[in-house]
Amino acid sequence: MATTKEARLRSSGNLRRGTFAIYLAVCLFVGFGLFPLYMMITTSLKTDLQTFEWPPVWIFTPTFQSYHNALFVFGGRSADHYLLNSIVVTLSSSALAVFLGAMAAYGLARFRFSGNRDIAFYILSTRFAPPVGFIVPIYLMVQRSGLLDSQLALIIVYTSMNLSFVTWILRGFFLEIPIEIEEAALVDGYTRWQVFLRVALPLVKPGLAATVILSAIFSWNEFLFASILAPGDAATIPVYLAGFSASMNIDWGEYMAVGTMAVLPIMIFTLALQRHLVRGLTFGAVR
Amino acid sequence: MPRIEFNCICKTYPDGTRAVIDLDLTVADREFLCVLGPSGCGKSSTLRMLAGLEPVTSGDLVVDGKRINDLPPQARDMAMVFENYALYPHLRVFDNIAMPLLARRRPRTEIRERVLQVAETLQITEHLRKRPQALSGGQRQRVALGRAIVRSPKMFLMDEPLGHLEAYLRVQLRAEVRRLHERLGATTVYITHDQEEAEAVSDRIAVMNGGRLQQLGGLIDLLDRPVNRFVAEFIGRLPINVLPAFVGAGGSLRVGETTLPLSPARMARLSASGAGPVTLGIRPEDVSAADADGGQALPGRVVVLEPQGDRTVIIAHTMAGRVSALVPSRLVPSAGAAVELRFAMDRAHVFSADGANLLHGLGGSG
Amino acid sequence: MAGIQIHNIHKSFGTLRLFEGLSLACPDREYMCLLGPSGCGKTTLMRIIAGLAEPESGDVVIGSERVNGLPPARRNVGLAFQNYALYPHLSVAGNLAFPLRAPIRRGSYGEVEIEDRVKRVAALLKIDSLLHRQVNQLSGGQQQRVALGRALIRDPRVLLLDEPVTHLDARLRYEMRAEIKLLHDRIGTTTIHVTHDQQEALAMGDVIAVMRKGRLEQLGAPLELYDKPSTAFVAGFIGDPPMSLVHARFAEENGRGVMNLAGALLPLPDALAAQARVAPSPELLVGLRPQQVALAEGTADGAVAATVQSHGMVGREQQLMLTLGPDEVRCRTPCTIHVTAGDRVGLAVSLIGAKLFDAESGRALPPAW
Repeated sequence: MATTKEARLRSSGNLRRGTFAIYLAVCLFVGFGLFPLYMMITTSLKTDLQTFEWPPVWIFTPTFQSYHNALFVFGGRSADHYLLNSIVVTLSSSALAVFLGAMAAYGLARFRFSGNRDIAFYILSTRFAPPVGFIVPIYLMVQRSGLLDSQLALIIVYTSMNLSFVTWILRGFFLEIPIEIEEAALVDGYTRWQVFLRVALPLVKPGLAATVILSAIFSWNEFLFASILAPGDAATIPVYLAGFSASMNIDWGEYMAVGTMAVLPIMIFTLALQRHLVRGLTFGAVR
Repeated sequence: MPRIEFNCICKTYPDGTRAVIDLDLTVADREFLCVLGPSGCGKSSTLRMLAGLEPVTSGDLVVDGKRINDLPPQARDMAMVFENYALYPHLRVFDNIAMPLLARRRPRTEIRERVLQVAETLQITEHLRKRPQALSGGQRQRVALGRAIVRSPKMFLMDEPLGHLEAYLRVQLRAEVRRLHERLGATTVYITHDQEEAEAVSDRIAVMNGGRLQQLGGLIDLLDRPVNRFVAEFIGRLPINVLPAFVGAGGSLRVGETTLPLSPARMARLSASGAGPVTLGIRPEDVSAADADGGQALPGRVVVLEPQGDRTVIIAHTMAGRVSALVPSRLVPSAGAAVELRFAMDRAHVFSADGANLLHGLGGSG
Repeated sequence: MAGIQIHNIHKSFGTLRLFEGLSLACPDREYMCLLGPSGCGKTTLMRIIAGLAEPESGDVVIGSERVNGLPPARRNVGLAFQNYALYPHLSVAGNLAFPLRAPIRRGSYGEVEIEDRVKRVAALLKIDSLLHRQVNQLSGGQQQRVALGRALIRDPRVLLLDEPVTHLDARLRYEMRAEIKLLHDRIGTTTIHVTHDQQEALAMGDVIAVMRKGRLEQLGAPLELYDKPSTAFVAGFIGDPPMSLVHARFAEENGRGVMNLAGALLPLPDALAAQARVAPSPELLVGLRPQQVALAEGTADGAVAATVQSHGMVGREQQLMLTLGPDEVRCRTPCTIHVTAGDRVGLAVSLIGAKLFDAESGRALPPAW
């Protein structure tokens, strides 16, 4: 009945009327959401003069002067230092969170031990409380260990914060793998660890992609802990950006340039990995 | 109890799929009809049109003389049982069964009495207070059946109701379905792809393929007088042997190097259709495997033995391919032995290249 | 190739005690079917042999090696799962090669040899044209073959098949049964085939182990189980149709043995009477084949009263299910006879060739000599 069932499903989703109106509404909504981004990027490519033109200038010759200023000219540390901090902290904490989280998730999904369910829920529950609630204890711990204002402090804190939802999400993905596939690998000659590496992990690729992206976004954008634990040398881009608006006169071009540099990497990262979010790896393989 | 007529019914889905083509079928009053065929043959679409869940593209659907094409499902006085039980998971078994009566606002006492009666019939009285997820597949299907019969409908429509169940449960429940049909005297249309099931429960079987009705008849009709190769291959517990053969001058029939004995009537029929390659269809029950004796037998070598009990299926390699024969267990040759296979030619079928049964009408003893 | 021996194993699941001292042996190169209804322990036993489950006590021996505690990877068994369990992220060729690439075997197989083996196994199972396809594009039958190929590619000493043909449609099932049998004839690996379908077990097994609730009911060749069932359960399970079992009481009348079947007194052949005389109790179960039961003409003497439960076609004959007191009886008649559910009929029952079982234990009565 495959073809006729498909036909039935397709026919019930037909909407001739109102399609145009729906498309229009969606375009407006998306436009509304993307406009700030558009403004930021164009402003970063304009000179100060062009920025303050009214009516606004839509067509102009872009210039990278603002980027140059932000990265190399400003006193103190220039943007590239903080960009580097963000990149290091984000990549490390995401990678660590996913690596540790995958193993924890696999253990929780596959092994039977007392308190399994409880531990899994406990891990998820660490994300329930607002982070503001434990900023003080964490500050004290970081300060006492002499890690204040270091990249390491941020990496450790972000990893532990990401770990909870990474574990929870990946646990769900591992539970979806039919256990027979892993048993087949055991019989075929693989140890548990090898089964984890070669069979289970490849099959949760969508989960890995999703958790890496989510961890990276969180780490990259995180402000509260960064501003308190790494206010100086190890500051990340969000902290640096905040510094801009504190001054009396705002250098809009450079502000937008740093903003663009803050947003672009994570967007590119997400876009690159998002095709791995496509499910369908396990469909149909086990009846 | 209604008589159902499909008059030149066609069903074409919006994307162009032609699910049912020119269906002409009559279900007699109180009859149990099975619609049998492989997936995609149009049987489900046919049932859904009868239920009112799908609109009829063209043709007339007539029940008891009235055209019901435009009648909504709830007005059609029929009960439907689905493959996946379709029970209400948030209700107890009692309420599931009571649903159709509640929908018609019958008085509480009547509902209670009726549901208890139905539960008794289907032996699920002990489960009335449970929810569907606490029941096994077989029990759930009984609840679905209970819900179907509680209104004493005039028509039963069943869409592969036993598909998900284990073999022995299927055997048990189909006997119950048949019993229910007889007790209630309702006209039943039952869809399945399992021919064993069809033969166990139905009065008549409608075989469908590719949207078209291939043949309609009782089991014996279909077994002995298949109208084409599809029906011959689909019906029958043991798969029918299909061997390449050749019709020669004068209507003689040859398989491999062996010329098979044919009655004059058959030879005349074959010669009329012309010489050329054909396919011989013969059921394992009609093939005997004796020791070498000379005469028109197809020589072969036994490769597999499959005991069934009193009888054993032997599979032999011959020049024309693999042939199965059903023989009494005490006469079984050993594996590897050479045998001579003889066909009961009065029960054999000869199919042309397009599948039509060239010997149709000259069928074997009934 | 290796034989399998199970000695006295115990296995429980929580409070459910499944195996209590189960012993079983499968000779080298034999094709053994483990047959039984769901819950009988056949799948658990197969998993114990594979190493996916461990018994609490007792020995599991493959060949001459005691394998208790050995991980599955070291037991050199091949397992074809019921729902195939193919690796979805690999192609057909990748699935077949996967066992050969296990680190435990590093060095045993070079790339060239792996490729060669994959091609040979694929040709054997007629899937060589599918080697580059992804497994979710294959039909059920094709996936089954890949699962078999994966199990066989390492030349395991034991092959375990978990309901290999149950999920295939009727036509394909018959084809695959013959092919698996022919494969076994060719390769000769000791094979354990788990199924709940008695027709499948009878057709395929050299030897069948009938199991029920964790116990071995009977072990024997197919026709042996059919002709000489050792328990009432086996008699009522094996065969198409299986025996009908009817409660009856043995009595002596004028020096001859008779059976009281729901009130009717039926003469008992001497050999059976001799068995019944020395039985522990006169309450017996009589096993009847449909050939021994027929619809009686009118109200003949000695006819047994029964009620029709249902009727249906089996091949060209009609099969009636009747209730006789608390028991169900199967009878085959020509389809010219019409009955309806609820009809009361008389049955002519012949006890020649019947089998007798003790009603309490279900054990077959031993032969009289």
